[in-house]
Amino acid sequence: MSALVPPLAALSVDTVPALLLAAAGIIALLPFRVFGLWVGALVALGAAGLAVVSAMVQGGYHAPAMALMAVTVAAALLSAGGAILRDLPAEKHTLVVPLVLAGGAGAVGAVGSDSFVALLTWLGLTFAAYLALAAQGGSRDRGGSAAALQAQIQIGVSLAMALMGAGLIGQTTGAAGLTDLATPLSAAPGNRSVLLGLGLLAIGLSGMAAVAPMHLWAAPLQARGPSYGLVLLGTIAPLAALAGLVRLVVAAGPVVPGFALALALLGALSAVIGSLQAMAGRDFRRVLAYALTAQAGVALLAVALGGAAGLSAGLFHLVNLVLVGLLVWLVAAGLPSPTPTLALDGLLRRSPFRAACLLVGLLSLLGAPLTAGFLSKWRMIEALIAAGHAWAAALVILVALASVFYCGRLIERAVFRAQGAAFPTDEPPRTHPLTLVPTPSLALALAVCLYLGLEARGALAVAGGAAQAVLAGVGGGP
Amino acid sequence: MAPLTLADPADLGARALMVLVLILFLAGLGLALGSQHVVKRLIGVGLAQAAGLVALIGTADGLGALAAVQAGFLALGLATAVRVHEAYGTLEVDRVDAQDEADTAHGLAPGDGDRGDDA
Repeated sequence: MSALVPPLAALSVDTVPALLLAAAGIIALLPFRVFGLWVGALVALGAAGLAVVSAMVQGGYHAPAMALMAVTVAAALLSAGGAILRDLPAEKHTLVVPLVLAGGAGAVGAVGSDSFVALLTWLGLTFAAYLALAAQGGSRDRGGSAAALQAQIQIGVSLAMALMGAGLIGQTTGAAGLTDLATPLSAAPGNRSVLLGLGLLAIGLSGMAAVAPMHLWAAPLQARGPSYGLVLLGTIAPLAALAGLVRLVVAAGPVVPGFALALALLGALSAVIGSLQAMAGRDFRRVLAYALTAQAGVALLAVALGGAAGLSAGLFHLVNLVLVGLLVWLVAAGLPSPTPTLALDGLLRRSPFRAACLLVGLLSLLGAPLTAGFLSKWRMIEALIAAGHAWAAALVILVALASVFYCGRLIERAVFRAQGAAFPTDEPPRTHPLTLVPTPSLALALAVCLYLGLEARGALAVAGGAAQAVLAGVGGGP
Repeated sequence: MAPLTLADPADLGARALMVLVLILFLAGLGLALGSQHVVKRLIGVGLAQAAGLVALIGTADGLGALAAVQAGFLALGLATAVRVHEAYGTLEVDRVDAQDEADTAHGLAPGDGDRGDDA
């Protein structure tokens, strides 16, 4: 295959972040507003296509992960098109597309980075760009600016912790990245500086991944920020950080006694706290944010304790979270803000397509049969039982039962209730053709989600291969 | 400049420098988490991140890009703080929260526990 596409093989998937970043810089200089949006969308689509083809040529872990992230960025940018025009005054349109592209470049770069400095630089770029977008929500609701500022402080603290952790590890062991971490760590067992560094790095990445209890920035920001920010901050940025955390667990878990268990307990805590908060939540966007915190915890639990099979299942779960995130956040972005759960009443009659997207997304989130979420949870439970951690498997089942409660409540409102008069569910007028742009992205995410629920052998094989590549890259396994 | 190393117990200068970096980091963390004023919190975040950056010196390349991102992060925070001050008339966290609660009570921006009951 590489002989057929020598130019693409020469470019490689590693050039995708640079391509997106360069496009962001050029589009920032363009005087056109809508034109800039189209150029940005075309560049993002081109980068996604390049990433997919390069991933087919290169294989390994980084290339498929970067391709998935690039496709998600392109879908999010296309989907955001309508919401941008709806949410913000025209003079801000030129600001938005470069920021979306820069944030996407950071996310793609982060999942492909091995060195600590590169990983944290890309993550910092992602969050800076997307938080700058979120801060624009203050033009409609002053709470949006306040929530964005609180998120900036909390994510800034998380980034500082991760930097200090990486610095301590580097100064003590000489390790500069994830791939060369296992050997020096095993040579310095019980070193307090190393343990402190690992702990700080893990906590910092957890904070950026919205893993509880460092997830407090996520829900207020999602509830008050602008609609398109939901897709970006709810799906792309935290998952890029979670991918880094997963690789840290795989690299350090086997050689640092207790580290994998500590991260598993953190994942369990996140699963429990996120589930309880989602069950108690009455705001649609907050419920989604808490639910994804719970699911991130489940993935961390499986990766930390499930061995190679758990890593494979956890990576498949992350893919499922990307799809679910796109589906549910795109539907949320189409509803008026703020969004109490009763805003969903009668959604099926108002918009059958979006109701179907929400239904499939929520069913996959709760792990209903014939969805990708069912398969990922099943695989995680199998891996945890095989590894002798029945308590963790039981926790995954409990989290799934909790998600039946809160997802079921949302489904009941959207599908079975009539539109009430208590809340103005009428959407803002659609005055521009670009407001229809989210539909293809939703349709694509819906189709892939349904397909993976029915036929997941290919995706599972890719996840298994990616798990082997990760284990080979870091020289160990959990 | 030779890289810092904690692995060599004889290198007392490097160890002392690392201790100073840790103190700077903890001071920044304390300010970021303990202050009620938004700008003080941002300064704390900046201090803690600067300490992290110093800790990475000598261990890896590419710190220039990381420093640029940090500066952008801080500038973004300060710009958002200006907007918050324009909207709320204060930068004290508890006062901003109180005004947010008042907004919620008046139904301007509901959060958890309101307007979404199953009744």
